[in-house]
Amino acid sequence: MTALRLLGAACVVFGCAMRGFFAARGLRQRAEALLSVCETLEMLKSELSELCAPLPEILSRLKTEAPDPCRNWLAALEAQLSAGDVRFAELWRETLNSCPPGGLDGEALHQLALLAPSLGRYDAPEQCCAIERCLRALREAHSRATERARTQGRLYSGLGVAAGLLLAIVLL
Amino acid sequence: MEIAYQKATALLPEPWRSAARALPEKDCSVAEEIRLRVGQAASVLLPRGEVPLSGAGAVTASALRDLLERASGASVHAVSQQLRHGFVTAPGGLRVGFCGEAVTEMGQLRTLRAFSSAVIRIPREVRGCADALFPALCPGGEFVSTLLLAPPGGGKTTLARELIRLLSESGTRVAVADERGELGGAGGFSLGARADVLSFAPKAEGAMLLLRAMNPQVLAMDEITAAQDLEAIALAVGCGVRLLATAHARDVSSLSRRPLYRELRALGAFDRAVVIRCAADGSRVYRAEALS
Repeated sequence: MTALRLLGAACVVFGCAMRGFFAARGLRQRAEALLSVCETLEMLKSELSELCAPLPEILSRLKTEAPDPCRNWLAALEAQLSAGDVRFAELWRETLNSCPPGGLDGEALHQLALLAPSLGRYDAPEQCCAIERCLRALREAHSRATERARTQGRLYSGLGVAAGLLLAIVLL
Repeated sequence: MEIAYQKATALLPEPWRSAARALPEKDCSVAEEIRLRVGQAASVLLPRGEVPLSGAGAVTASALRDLLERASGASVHAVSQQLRHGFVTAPGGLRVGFCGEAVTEMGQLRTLRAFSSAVIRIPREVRGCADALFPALCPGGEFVSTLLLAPPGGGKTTLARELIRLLSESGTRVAVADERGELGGAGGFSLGARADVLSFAPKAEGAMLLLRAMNPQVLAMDEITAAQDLEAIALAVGCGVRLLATAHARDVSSLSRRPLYRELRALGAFDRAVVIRCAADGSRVYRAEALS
């Protein structure tokens, strides 16, 4: 009976610690997702400014070369663009809704959606300006998310273990 | 439906695409252009004339913007240089011309906006159209510098494409300065195994680059229109490279009426001219003559 209780207490501690660990990991993943999107936008900006490549060509390259969290979204965008019937601005917004880059929150998706009216419609320098504005907002969000992951991540992990221990003690 | 017509109509937004595809098959196969003018019905240019498309209503400015988006692959930045000249070459070598309001910067045309009309030219690969003509351009078994003459829409590019292919398949290295992407169709047309194509570069610069880098035996270019083109031609002549080019002219005598072409004749760069005439059924008749 005592052994069972101890086992149960250990499970409670483990479960709560895992809860805290996953919460901390979620914060880190959000920061990484923002970084991935920033890197993807930088690649997009380079393709536009250096090569003036058409968007279908850029998307074809980025869907395999961009950071992982963004690849499915870019592949979906490329596929729908080649199907041909909807304006690119609408496709950009639709795929951000249906197949967004992994780990992004509403604010980051909103910043990306703001790019829709500019992409493909103006000369390369104007599009790069719009991308740079979006990048500034996302980089700020990334800084905040990184700081939050650093400070609150440890807090969540610690709280998880502490809560588990407290609960185990109470139950025992 | 014929592939060329299908590709052209794929650029159209609905309902104009469906209206264009509802045309009888025999008309689709000879259609030369699709024309759109804001406030009017879209029409198709056939050998017998322009035929309006029914069932789609008047063309709107928004439809022309959609057309630009499709023709450019949602990439106006990639075609801004072309748009400055009033056209965009869509994938497959389809040239889409636009009219509207010019945006100028320091006296130079920067782009077009507020489109009022557009025309989609339907290019076709007419295999075999140059087979009977080709021997006349190769006296003694070697191709001589040839200038193709016709008014706009006369079939110069179609003939040039076929001649390039025949030259290339006969073992001749052909470098193609394809300024508008129509000769090679940005990869959509087969120019043979020995053709090197430089697309969308300004013609004179592209021709000089090809002469220096690709060691051609024949240099091909479309539509000699500017003084800089003559520089490239003079350089080619100086290098011993033969030429294949096109020019807007009804016949050889009309070449003398324009200063640019007088200068071209004075260069003595071309040995033959081919005058292209359009028959009533839309077919082309070619007449080769020596240029003294």
